[in-house]
Amino acid sequence: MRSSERGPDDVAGRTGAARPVGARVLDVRGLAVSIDGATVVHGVDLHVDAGECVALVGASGSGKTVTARAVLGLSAAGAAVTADRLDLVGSDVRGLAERRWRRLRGSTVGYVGQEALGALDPLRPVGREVADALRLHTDLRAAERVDAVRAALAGVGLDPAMATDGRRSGTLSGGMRQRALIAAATVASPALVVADEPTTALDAAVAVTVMEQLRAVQDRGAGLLVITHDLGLVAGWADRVLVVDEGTVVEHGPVAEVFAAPQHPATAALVRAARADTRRAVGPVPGPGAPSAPLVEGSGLTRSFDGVPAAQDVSITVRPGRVTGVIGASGSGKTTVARMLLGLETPDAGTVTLDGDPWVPLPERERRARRHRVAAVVQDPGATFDERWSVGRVLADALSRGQERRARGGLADPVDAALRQVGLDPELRSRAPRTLSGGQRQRLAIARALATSPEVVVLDEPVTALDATVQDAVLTLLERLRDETGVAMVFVSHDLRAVRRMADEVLVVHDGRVVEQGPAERVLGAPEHPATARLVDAAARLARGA
Amino acid sequence: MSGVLDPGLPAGASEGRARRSERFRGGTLGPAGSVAAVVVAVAVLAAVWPALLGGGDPLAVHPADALTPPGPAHPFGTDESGRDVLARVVAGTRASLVVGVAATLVGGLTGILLGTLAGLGGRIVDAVVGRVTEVAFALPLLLVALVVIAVTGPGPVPATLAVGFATAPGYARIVRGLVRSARSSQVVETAVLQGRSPGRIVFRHVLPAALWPVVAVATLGVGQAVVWASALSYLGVGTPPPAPEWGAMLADGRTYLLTAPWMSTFPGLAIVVLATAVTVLGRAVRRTGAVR
Amino acid sequence: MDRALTGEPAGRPAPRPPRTGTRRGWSAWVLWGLRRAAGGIGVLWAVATIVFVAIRLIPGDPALAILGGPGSQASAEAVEAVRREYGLDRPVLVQYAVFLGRLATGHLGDSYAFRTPVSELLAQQVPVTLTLAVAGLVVAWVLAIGAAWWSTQRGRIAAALTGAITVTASVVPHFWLGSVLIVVFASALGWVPAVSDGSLRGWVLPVLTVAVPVAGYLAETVRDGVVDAQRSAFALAARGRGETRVGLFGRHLLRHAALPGIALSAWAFGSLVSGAVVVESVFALPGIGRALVTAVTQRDMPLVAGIALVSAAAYVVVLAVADLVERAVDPRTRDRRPAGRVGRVRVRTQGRVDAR
Repeated sequence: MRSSERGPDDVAGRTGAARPVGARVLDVRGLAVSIDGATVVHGVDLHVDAGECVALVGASGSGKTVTARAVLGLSAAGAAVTADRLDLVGSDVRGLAERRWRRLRGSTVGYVGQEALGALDPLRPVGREVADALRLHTDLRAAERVDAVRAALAGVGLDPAMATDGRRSGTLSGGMRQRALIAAATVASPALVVADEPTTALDAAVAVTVMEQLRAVQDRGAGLLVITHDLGLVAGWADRVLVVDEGTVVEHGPVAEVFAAPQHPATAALVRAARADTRRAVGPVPGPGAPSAPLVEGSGLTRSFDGVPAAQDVSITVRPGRVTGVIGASGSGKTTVARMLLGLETPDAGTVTLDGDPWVPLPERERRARRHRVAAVVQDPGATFDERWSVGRVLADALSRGQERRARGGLADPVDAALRQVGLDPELRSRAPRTLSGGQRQRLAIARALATSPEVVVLDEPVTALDATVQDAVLTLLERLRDETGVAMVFVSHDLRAVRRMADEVLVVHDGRVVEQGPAERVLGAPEHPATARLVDAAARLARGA
Repeated sequence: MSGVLDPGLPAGASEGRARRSERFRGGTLGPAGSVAAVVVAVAVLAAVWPALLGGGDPLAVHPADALTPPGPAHPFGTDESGRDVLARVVAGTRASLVVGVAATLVGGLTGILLGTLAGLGGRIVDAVVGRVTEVAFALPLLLVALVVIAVTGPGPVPATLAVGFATAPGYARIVRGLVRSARSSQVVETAVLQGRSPGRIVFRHVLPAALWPVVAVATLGVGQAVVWASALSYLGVGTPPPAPEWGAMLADGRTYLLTAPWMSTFPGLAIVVLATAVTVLGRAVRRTGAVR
Repeated sequence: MDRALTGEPAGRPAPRPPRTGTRRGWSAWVLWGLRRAAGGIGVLWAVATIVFVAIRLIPGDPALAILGGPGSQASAEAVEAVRREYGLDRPVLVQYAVFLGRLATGHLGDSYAFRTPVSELLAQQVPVTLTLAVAGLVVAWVLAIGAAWWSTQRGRIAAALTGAITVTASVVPHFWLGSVLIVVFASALGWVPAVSDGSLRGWVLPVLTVAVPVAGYLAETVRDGVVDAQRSAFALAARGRGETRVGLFGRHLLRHAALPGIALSAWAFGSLVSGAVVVESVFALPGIGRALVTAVTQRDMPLVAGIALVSAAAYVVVLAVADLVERAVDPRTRDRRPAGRVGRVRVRTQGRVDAR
């Protein structure tokens, strides 16, 4: 699967058969938002017509979410919103009182928020949440509302019984919650739907269904405004795209054109991130010679939680200097496997050896002396840093293996070198990790992992929570480190783009079992098992917009 | 090595509204905290050097001046024995502050000990300590205090011990929860992955994370302790008369509530003001500690 | 839409798949009841033992106390007779066994000081105290919710003002507040009687006095919870649907904010009882408060034991009720491991360490 498959030709081919668009549902000219006196957004022009999908793309902090919230009247407290024109379905909403806004929200404009996992009240039945907009904005009686909710749920592919069975969001998966949110936002048939990062934290298969739901909404005549950091996501789904950088729109136009010929550096970075999925392997790729002895070998790993099997008879081999990718849908058990390799979970059955010596199951005190050989990088490193420690201390502790008091003074240079190695400015030494950006924190986590010169690093979704452009940068960093240090990696992710870039071998996990494994090119290019085929297909469909 | 900096946020930029709300306005303590700090400082001064703030001997009896309303000679009036209420209020500050702080120390340290034990220990230790605190909670504070004082006799020390032991289970429960959640935190998991020894993990990560919040709780606890110590005096089991103690003064003043309300008003106000000031100060300090 | 693609199990980021919420059958409830009953009996036994030990530690001869206090000029024979009559001459362990045995069969004995069966005394007095405590808790909740509304939905001035009031309220001493209320509302305004006269209006001031400090603390907790919930994703989503301010508060925010408050109410019940005791002396209510002090100072063990046991029993019941309420408000607890333990620690509810 080459990047050209997702290139301009494909996209152009789709938009060639132009979608019929209707009246203008959103018209914004000269929007400016300042929060606590600081201008966050200025000079933004944007419009959405009925039946079309407009994407607002930019990195975190670029102002795209602020813009979207301004369009809904949901700006943060302390925000001042001004515009030359701000029309929602033809009526001027500038300076509208909150009470009037409440009548518009849910009925004229729908909002699908960013954090799907938490956007449904866990204490209320999902059916009631979906019915809210009807209760607030229509005169339908209770029974009629239930019917409408059942139809809406069926429309997004959920069980209509959820309208009345009192189920709460805790029993729904991430994808199901996002679909329920779409149902809740669209049940009253709003003319404009604003979707803020609708596919964050969702794997490709689920993301496809969510995007399909949104397209269905679009087909029913609503205008769709999608906010995202990933140009690759919307390349296949949106009609027009606006690129936002530092609070203003820097480029806009039909998706195909912007994708093919980006003018602004920010756009170029986004396009680059969207395209980057091939191996840029510069270092020596080991040929099909005699394979070296395995470094980490897990065999027959099995683990269940409360009777539900998470991993069943998983075997994985990690060889020195090679990157093994572990892919699978959310909940397939890949994280459990990673945690067992690290000794954080004790398997019910199976063993792991490190360089031939037993590693799991083993009492921790017998592993402690060898811990420096294995390192880990997780999805959200923020919670792994002791909040009282500075960046410098984190690295000093890692470099000295906890003995930084004894090595006092001699650590300043190694810490600086470690920071530079991951592309961080040594000036950040005295900062608290909390004040760094997501990408910087992940770089710090990588630096910490490499501080003991480990032989293998286990990475569990290391870039999933990052912006597309930042993902690109961090993956580039990982590639470079891989080539320079020759460290072996276990790269666990549901994002096939990232795995395709990094991995030599790939293991496919489905329902806790390994269903396929082999060289990355082969497995991802010509998958044999249906589960693998589904994953690859979903990724392609997500990219293509089919 | 290109040394390219991350194309993420510029250094120091806030990542959204949550960060912004952490920023506090004004000075280090904020307006409320500063006022509270002043009040507490005055109280400490009154405890250490009562003569400076309220003239007169709190024990001097002048029957002729009994029950005089507040006036130039006696700003807070006099009680039924002619004693100057202002002097007694100021003198009583020491007892209240000392008992309040001491009781909180007693309760806090006991609670921390128990809570840490329960938090770090295995399931059996946790269960045992849990049962003990459960029973301790089942007994009303007043009952415990009365029994302690009946055993040892009235006085400031028994009152301190009584209030201290009565509040210990509350601290224990909070500390146990904090220790448990710190134990299962990602910080600790990371330290395990880095091969740190259990002792080092406990002292470097678990205990500091669990104990600092308790300090904040303890400052609030001082306010509560002051109130309960006064309650014990009110019931007649605290410091024996004629020592000036706010609670006892309120008890005396009850008989004269309608005829000489100043006897009750000022000691009561003193309790409220001191306890509030300590609480507000504690909250302000906690907020400055939270944002660094 | 291709549902085959979405056949993923509930995919939370955590490695373990969540359980689906199963409806608890009758057997589960019976088990819950048994567990709580067993725990309750354990607590009562421990309380009884502690009372037994504590009373023995109090200096003074109980025989003298029975005869009318240390000042009574009782003869040595009279003291001996009393000792034998009340079984005070037997070994400690035997006394303990007898004590426990009587309790188990429901005989609380006769009060030494009042010479009437403890159960009679308690039957008269405990309802007053418990009514005061329960009514106080209810009023405290009403005030706390109102304060939470005012401090979060009505602008910064209202928030600051309410904040100041709640902080002060949480440290107001009962005995002082009671006196002030009497002076203002009974004497000056004459709206309500100063001391309880059996009428409903006579309860107003005592209940308010008990409720205010608890309300202050509850209000803080509920307000923190509301502020927290306001920042959540579901609050934003609800607003995005056009939910009204009242609707948001009542349907979403309050439920989340009330959760820590429920656990707090259980703990605070003990504090309420202590407060009720003090308040009773201020308003001359015939509750256990007045008897308690005498009972302790006179080594009236049966009465002290009775009061302690009734308080402990009330506490156990209150905890069970709080558990029920929590399950009703937060159905997620149904899906979790059955909480046999006495409540989970809410780390956010810092501060109230004297909740006894």
